[in-house]
Amino acid sequence: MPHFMLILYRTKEMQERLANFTDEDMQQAGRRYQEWAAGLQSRDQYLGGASLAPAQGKVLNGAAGEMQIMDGPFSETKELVGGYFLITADSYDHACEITRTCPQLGFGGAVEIRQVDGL
Amino acid sequence: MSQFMLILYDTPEMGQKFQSFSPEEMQAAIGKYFAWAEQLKSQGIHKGGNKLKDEPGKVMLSGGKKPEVVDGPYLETKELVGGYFLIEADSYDAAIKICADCPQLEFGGKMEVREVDMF
Amino acid sequence: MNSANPHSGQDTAATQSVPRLVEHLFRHESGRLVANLARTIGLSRLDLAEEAVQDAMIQALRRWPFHGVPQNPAAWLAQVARNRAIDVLRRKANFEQKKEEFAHPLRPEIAQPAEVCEDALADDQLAMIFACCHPQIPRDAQVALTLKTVGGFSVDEIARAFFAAPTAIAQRLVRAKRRIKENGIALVLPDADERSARLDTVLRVLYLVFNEGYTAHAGDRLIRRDLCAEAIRLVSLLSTRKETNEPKTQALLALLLLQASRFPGREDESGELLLLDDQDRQRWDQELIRRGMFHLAESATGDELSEYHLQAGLASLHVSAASVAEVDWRTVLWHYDRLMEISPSPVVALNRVVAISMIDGPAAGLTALEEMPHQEALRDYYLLASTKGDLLRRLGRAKEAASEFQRAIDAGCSEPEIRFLQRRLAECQQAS
Repeated sequence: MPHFMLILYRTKEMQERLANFTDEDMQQAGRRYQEWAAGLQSRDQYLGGASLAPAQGKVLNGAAGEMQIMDGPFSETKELVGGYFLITADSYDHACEITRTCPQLGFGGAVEIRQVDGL
Repeated sequence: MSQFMLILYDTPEMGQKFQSFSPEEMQAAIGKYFAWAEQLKSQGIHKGGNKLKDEPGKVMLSGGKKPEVVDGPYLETKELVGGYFLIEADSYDAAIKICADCPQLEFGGKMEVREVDMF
Repeated sequence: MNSANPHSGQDTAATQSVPRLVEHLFRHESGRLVANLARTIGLSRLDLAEEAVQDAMIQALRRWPFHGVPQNPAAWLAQVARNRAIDVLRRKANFEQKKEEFAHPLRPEIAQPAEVCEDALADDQLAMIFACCHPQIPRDAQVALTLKTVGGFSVDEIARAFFAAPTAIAQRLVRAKRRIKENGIALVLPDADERSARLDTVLRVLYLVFNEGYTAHAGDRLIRRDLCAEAIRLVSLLSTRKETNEPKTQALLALLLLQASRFPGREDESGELLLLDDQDRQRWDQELIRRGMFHLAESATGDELSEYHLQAGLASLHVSAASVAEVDWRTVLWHYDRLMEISPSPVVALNRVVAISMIDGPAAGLTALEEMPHQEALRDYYLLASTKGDLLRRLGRAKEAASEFQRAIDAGCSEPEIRFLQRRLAECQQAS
């Protein structure tokens, strides 16, 4: 069974939305991710996942010949990788189907779906 | 101990460099990655990693009522997430130090260091 | 979370300790895989075979750091290279079909998984060596093509070894590949009746590869050492195949092993090259000497006395003597006399003079030197002047010796030799 990584991006819109969230809203949001993950688990589609702390990320750049260390986020357009899920799915289509209900999309974020490369 | 995700971005510079490598140099480069990972494993702080397939994948955007599926990659840069490693470290500084030793940077790639927040 | 670590892909290699890759595995596999692929898709598509193998190695570089080394790395590389070549050919076939032109049909065998046995791989490689050393390909291109295609050296590495510009090496390769296409050179072993003559060319090319690595010019030392190892590996391969295992093959193998045995004693602590007189014989590699002597004995069959037999015989006389003074110079002279008969050269002639001087003294050496043919052609060759200088020095004619050493230095030679000559020059200037 192929494995897929779902990279959860916090778009600018989503970051703006989250900025207005109360603590309770945030807790609520966290629970929705947990529930979504539990759903995956019950269907044996869940392999792992985590949210990534939004602050303090660093980017190390080796492309310029000598290494540079910069503050994150990686993208100049300020999208931020907010977390990831590792899931099993039959195909890209199937993985997209599963992702449709991911709370990230409900909060205005975006999800990149990439197949994990087995040997 | 916190967990950190090291996101590896493949850059065009890296692709060119690999293209110009002789078989001997490729083997030496693989050896460098192994030596790096071996060091982490011997300290018990290597928690895994995955390579993502070298295809742009799919992206789901939260547009109107129904999430929209488009071809990846999500980031509008020349870089593509090539894979990631999960490591344990005491602090961001320690994680950055580990990251800075990764051959990915020597070969012209980029890396992002992010602390993991369990869901 | 599942009990298995999801971050180890579908394989647990990432958390296991990594098996070490055999030294030079990629370089050696590259040659084997290119030969095997080229046999399947045709030698006229050598470029595609090389690209596919390069691509497979890049894939390994990008994936193995995450997954670890596969169980059988060589088979993994072979499979990926093969798939890649098939992909390219299919795409090309489709493209040509669209143009309603003749589409090259895919040979069914290349769709098979790469289950090639060692013997077949060795056969392909053998055929590739003969193709690279085909008489229709110019000599300098034969050497470059053999190193690139059979040896798995990159253009840059070959350029570094030969102290040449990468573009010059690349041009030689383009020329060689054009000759392959123009002459329809195929990847097959030559027929029995022409095999021995073709083998001569192959052995000559491998001897050149070794010498390029062994003799002291400029160039990257590490790569030059690798050239020697590669020449030995390929001559060994020839010696293990019945089609190419002739006495001269054994003789060349003996020669290369005996020469290589001196590697450890050839440099001082700072990496400077030492001349034979100054070398610490204790440091010569006894295992290589043993193997060289074994193959020299193996070469003593049949009635062909090749140049390699004689050169290997000379090398064996040097490595088996405890010091320069204890060398069996009469036997050395016999070897040089034979060499003058079958492949005369100024270097052989000069070495013969040295042997005479060691047997009958420097005066006899000087006479022999003056009687040497083709002196005119050698006038600017440092070895003539330095040999002459040394004979004069031993005769106590310091002033004349000094001017010969000066002439040798002016003629140009390697750094360690210049230092040696300057030392001699200073001694003679003091004495006169």
